[in-house]
Amino acid sequence: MMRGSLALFTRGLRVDCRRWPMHLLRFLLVGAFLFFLFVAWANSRLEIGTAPGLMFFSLISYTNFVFITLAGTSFFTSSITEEKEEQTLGLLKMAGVSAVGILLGKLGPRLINALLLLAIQYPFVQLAVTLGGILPRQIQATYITLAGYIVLMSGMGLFCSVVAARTRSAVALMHTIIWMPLLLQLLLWITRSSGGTGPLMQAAQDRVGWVSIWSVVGRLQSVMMIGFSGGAVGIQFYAHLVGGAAAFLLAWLCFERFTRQPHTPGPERGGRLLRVRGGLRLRALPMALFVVIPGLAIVFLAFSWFRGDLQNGFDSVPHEWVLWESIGLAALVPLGVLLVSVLSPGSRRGAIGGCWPGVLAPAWKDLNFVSGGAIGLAFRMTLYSLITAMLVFLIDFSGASWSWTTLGGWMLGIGILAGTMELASNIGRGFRTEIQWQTLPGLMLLPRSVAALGWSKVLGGILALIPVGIFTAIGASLFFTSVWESLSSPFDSSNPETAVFVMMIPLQMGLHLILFVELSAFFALTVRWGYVALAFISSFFLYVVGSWGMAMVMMIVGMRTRGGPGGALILSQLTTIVVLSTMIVVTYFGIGRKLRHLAGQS
Amino acid sequence: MNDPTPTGNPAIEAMSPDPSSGMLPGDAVAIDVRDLNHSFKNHQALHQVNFQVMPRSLHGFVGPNGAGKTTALKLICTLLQPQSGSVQVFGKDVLKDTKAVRQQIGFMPDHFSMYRQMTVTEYLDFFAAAYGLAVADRRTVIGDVLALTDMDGRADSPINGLSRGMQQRVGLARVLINDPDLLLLDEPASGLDPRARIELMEILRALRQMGKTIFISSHILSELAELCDSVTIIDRGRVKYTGRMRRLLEQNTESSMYRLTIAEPQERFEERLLGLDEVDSVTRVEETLEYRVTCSSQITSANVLLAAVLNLEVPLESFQKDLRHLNEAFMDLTEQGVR
Repeated sequence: MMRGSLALFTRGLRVDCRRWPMHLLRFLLVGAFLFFLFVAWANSRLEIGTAPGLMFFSLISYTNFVFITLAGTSFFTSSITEEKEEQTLGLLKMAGVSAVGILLGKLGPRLINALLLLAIQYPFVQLAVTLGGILPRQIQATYITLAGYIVLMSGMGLFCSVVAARTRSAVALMHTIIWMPLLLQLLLWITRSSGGTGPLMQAAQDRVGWVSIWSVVGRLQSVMMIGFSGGAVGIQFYAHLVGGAAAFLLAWLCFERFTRQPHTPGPERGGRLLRVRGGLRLRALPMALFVVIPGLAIVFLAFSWFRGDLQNGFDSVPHEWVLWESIGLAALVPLGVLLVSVLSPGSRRGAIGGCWPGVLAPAWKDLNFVSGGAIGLAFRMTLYSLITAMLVFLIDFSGASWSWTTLGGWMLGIGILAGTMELASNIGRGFRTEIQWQTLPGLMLLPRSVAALGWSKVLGGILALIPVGIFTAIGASLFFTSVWESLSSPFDSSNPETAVFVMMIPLQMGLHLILFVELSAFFALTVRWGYVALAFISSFFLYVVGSWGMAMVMMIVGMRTRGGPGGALILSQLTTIVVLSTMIVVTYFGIGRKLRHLAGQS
Repeated sequence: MNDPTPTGNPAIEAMSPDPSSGMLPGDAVAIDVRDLNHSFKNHQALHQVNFQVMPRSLHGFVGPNGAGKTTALKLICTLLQPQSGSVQVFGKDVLKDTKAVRQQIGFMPDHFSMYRQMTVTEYLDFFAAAYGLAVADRRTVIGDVLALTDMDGRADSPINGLSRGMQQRVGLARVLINDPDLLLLDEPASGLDPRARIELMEILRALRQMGKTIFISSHILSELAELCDSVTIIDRGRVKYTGRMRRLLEQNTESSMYRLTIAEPQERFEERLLGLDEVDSVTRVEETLEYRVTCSSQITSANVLLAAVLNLEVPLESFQKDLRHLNEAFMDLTEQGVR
């Protein structure tokens, strides 16, 4: 067992050494740390904070937390699925490597790499002590906390990788596992607050909290407090260690069961999926929405009018009705799609002429076969309806004063975030699958330009955003008044610089989102897995170092030259916008170049 | 029509296909590759490659692994851009008229690049739509290509569930969807069972009869010899032979071989044959009445030898020129070792 495991372990270390994204990640991490040092120095120069060491160390700690979380959902989750996708797992088994040997050999190098990345920081962050505001004991406690978290994430990632057939499914499962304890905590809190058995619920909530990722945040918060006097090793560390070991054990127990069959999806599976998908046509969705949304709106308005709720405006409508409307929408959209598909004529699967013509054909393909088609859209409609229902419930339950603006604000925020992630994932997957299935040459040989092909794929990704688009648009319309007020107030002020500055913020945000989506597409053509995570880290790095750093430099320059930061801030924003626009253009051409290169290679 | 350009290699020039064969007035050469060079980093994949493919012909492209076949194919089909030299498809430059070239070609790579989650019809409908065919035309064309490839019974089957041979047929159907004049097939028969291979060759013959030009790279030399009108042999990035297939199989720089069979046993027949001025050596094929005769010079024509044999007054049953097998030609022209 040891020989096989050691061979895998050595190979894993070698492969990781050769992977340039790993070096890029390390470089970005080092770059971020250097930048944090600069921020701490600038703060001390500007006398903004009193403890630059604490600030420097907090930034590093939370960046590590984000890195580990992202690594957990991409780096560890591919450990076994990559062998499944390469169809080499069977060969390893035939070579006599046992299940535990494979698990140790595959997880070991990744775990060592992650822990080494943490260990190498340790001597350098001692610098924070000299900057002031933090003690060596707090640094020890922080790194022990993070080490425990790495062990938990690696164990859970390995389990997901064993159970799932593909890395994508493993990532989805990992996200579910990460979010599940948080949802459970929320439910326990709601039950407890609603008069459930208090102490028992509290105890259950605490136990769940041990394996929740927020236990890391909680622990870091307590460690960072001035005058921290706890032990270097907290209960969180032990809980995460046990959690990681349990996940490893579970992965071991499940290994044979989930790796018995070869990875290649068999015809039956494909056939079943096709039969389900074939029954639900894409065109059924708009027709279903056309019937369901006005239908529910009429019911909502009629009932409110009948009860006399509308006499004092929409604010007087009982918001429980919004809750029921959202749940109704969640249930009725899939049913509507199904009904329309069954009843509409000419919806036979495989009918010729379904594909959109010309340059739109790749968009049709990606929408149907990458982003889930009608099933995916109906599912997301249900998901976002349920999120709306949950928001209504939570706003009501938390005792916060109910208003359409509050609901709209939450919907808008969640919509923008989820929409950006969805778009990055859709477009990235659109490109990745072409490489994975070696279908890129076929597409590139179409009598179209590379740009037309790329834009068509982007369109496919955008069209899949219809559910989140509706969700965000409703949120924006509800939030419209306050948004308008916040946008128009700077124009009323006597300071025009502030107005220009405020106007630049959404532009800069938009450019950041575009760059993030572009980077996801670029990395999808470059790395096999974790392209969204890599794009996220790169965007985050660019955002922090690029815009924030530039702003600080400009502020210092501005204060020295003009005595105030106003003009310098505008200049910094302008510089950021120019830098971002340049990067967007460069990445755009980089994607085209990469596509041509890959088509010639495959 | 383009005239052949001197390649610097007299052997190749002498073996170039006869431009008049298979060409109609106004026809352009289907593929015209001139002085083509291509390298990947430090590796020179193609070195001064020259060859031509006549329209409506079936041209084989043969070479050992790593000889540069796939690179040449990718350059012809516009997936790669030539670093030096030129490639023209029906008189259009692949660099300058990329879109026009793409409209006229159909490329089938050596691996199964398919959207396996689609059904056969969806797959073909997607490519037909991507080529800009109207819905009514799509119905006709998809029906035709499915019938040609004998896949009309599996039109609604998911590609994922099809056998390798059937997937290859779907790939071929996809290549035909835009009715290309030139088909570029990279190892189309690799991994197929004998029946699927024979059926594929039949489809290719049918396509040639329909007036398509087919450029096929393959390792199955026996089938290429039967199928192809012309052939290009490439080794280590250099063209070793380009020209008509029959010429290659006949070609022997030092001698010509004939196979003759007599009707009944003759005494000292071998000695009598050897006594002829034109004959260099005679070999009896095992204990049969068949003899392989090697003539010392290529100047000796079949007629002269036949007349000499008939003068020996033996009952002759058959007399034919003994062709080399393509395998032998291939082994003679290519070097040992794998790149």
